[in-house]
Amino acid sequence: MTTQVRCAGCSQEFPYHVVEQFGGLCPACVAGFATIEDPADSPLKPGATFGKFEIVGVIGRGGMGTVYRARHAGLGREVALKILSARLASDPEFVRRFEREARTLASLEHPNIVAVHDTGVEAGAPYLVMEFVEGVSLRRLLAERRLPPEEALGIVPQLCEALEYAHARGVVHRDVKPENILIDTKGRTKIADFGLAFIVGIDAPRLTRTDVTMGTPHYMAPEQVESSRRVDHRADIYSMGVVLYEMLTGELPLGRFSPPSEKSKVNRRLDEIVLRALEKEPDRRYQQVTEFHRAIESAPQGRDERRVVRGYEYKSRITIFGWPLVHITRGVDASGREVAARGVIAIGGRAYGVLAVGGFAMGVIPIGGLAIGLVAWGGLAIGALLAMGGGAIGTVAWGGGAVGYVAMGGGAAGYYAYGGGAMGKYVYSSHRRDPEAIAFFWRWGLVDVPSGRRPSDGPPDVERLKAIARDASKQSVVRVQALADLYEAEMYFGMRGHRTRDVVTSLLALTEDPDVSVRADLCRNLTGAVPPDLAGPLIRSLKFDSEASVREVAAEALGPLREVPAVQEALEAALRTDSARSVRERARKSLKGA
Amino acid sequence: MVEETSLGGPRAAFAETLWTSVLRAKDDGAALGRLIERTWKPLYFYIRRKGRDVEQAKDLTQAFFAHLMESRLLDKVERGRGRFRSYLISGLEHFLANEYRTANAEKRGGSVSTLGLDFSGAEREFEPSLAETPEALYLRAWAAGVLKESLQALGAELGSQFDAVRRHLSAEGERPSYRDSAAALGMSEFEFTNFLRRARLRLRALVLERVRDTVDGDAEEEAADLLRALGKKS
Repeated sequence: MTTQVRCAGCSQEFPYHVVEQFGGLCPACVAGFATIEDPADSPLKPGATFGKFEIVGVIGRGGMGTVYRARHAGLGREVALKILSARLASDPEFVRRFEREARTLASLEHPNIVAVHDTGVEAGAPYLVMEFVEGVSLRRLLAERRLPPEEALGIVPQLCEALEYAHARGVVHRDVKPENILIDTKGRTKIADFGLAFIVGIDAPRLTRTDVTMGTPHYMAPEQVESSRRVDHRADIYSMGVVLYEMLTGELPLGRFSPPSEKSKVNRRLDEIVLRALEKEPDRRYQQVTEFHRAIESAPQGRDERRVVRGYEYKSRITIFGWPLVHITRGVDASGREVAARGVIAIGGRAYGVLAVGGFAMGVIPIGGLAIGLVAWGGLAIGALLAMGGGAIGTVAWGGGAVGYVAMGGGAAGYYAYGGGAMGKYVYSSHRRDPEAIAFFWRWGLVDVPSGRRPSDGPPDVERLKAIARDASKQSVVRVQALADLYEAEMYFGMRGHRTRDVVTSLLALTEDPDVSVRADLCRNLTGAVPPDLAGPLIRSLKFDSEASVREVAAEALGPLREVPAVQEALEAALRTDSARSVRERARKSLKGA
Repeated sequence: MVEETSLGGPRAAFAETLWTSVLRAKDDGAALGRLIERTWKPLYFYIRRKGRDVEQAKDLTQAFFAHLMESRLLDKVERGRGRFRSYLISGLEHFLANEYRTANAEKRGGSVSTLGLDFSGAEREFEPSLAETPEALYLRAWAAGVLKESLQALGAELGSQFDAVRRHLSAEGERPSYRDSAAALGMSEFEFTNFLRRARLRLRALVLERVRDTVDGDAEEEAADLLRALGKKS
């Protein structure tokens, strides 16, 4: 019977010789001691320290290890701390690569590359200290929503710039994928983990089977999956193609995949660019990122836009809400169809834009042969707010022929109409001047203002003037002035329509006015303004007014109406019988038309 | 023929990994010697637990290695065949099942008796319990070999500081407090716990290093299996 030893630490019993074999140590405790979890496997808690860093939180976990948001204890600076699996450190090949490559990575300084500040090994775990990027990964973004093509095409050039920079320094990323693409709060794109795939060796197929859990190989170039030795910078071009395809279509280009334009509403011209980046054979791809970059930059942004092949086209690089600031086209595309200009300022045969100028123009402010928009100006202008042109249709229309709530022009039809031949509810025309129309157009300065009046005075208030003229309690001089104003209103505002008749009728009532000067003034001023059927009051004045001076002006006022039988009769009677010589004289002149 | 291996010495015994050793053993006597050195004891325990007496087990162990060489069993070893530990035990099972070979074990084993394996020492360590299957015993012995070597390698790396680690793992007597251990090393308590943590991670890495090439697949899993075999019984 062998002696049993009871471990002071774990209370387990072991034969003495077993313990002795372990140099007096408890095998169970040693086994437990060795089963510590890798810091890369078991996330550190916020507040924990790792070397000089205090852990703030976990940013993400992946095959290579865990990325933390951490604070440098001394400097207080926030960093992204990537702690790689300690398992890796037991691989001497890894350690060699890590030491060799870390320096290169730290030397990459580019606004679109997540900077590596430092590298090292702490508690057996290799780590990288990187710039902390406040933002989201492209993976997160893609999970949340489908990116509009313009947004996708805004990300790619930034990736290109980062890769161009790195490739020029002989560094191949080898693991371009949405997880490694970050978009910061300012909308800037940054690539992380440059060359890390090489250091860790996840692009070496042998290792993928053994100790490194690898992510999806779908972003890897075919030659990279086959053998990591053959990999050069063109593998990154392939990966970028996969990322772009996924951004445009929401799918991965697996197997016999369709071109992006068949999967979503992107321009067919993008197909050839994406497909060329995705060529299986590196020699058939873009050979340099610069070429891919250029192709993307010159790719049409919108949905199925076409480009001018014969003619002229200018598109400014500055865009607002995905529209170029200026787009000018003149010519046809490959299929021979005219290419429309689309931009904030668009100029072309067909133009669509905030300010659109063209044969056919549509937009906020369209100017053109046919202009449709908010404020339209053109041969035929249709404007929601304002239309100006040969033919104009709009809330406010102004033109040769204008139709609108307010229409102005040679031929204008509207609720308020202004013009030579205007038709409508309230009209200001050569034939008819409605006070409502006068009041309406007055404020626009479209009404002829009588001399001595200013536009700000407003149109005369005819009803008030009539009331004053009729008011016997007023002094005759006041009523005569009111009459004068009414005549003026008649003269300037052309009250010859139905309204004018009404005014004349009411004026004629004043032939009964007790004041002789009012009666005389009235008759004098009504000369030529009285229609034949309203001649009665004037005839009455001529026949019966007690004042010779009134009868005299009545005889004069009737002159233009001498053709009317009743007037002729009255004038002849006055010529024969009037007691005053001046009246007889006047009647004779009126009859003669002098 | 047998090279002095330093089982228990400070040399990193698994610098050459087992699979490498196996593959080389096909035509390298020295490599074969190392392979035998690293595997005989778990195999011996397995045979003993299978009910053979000491003498039979001795002979069978030696005969199995002779069989390994003669039958060119190792020639069939290729990477990609899973765990070497399992490969070896299935080879042994096959060998034991063959009545003819077993009967002639003594004669055949004689040819490799020069291996000079310390059977009497092993016999002292042989502590079968009825609850433990031959396979479990084999696993435990294999695990103990790996862990012991890893521990020795750690000791060699840490030098004098290893003593502090030892005291925290000793089976006998009270274990010191962190504060006392830290003071003895001239560290703060925080520094000492960090040091312990690093030692643990290093030991784990050393175990993984030894396990890595005995498996074609998940080394983590094999290491976990081995450590579990030695670990605390619930």
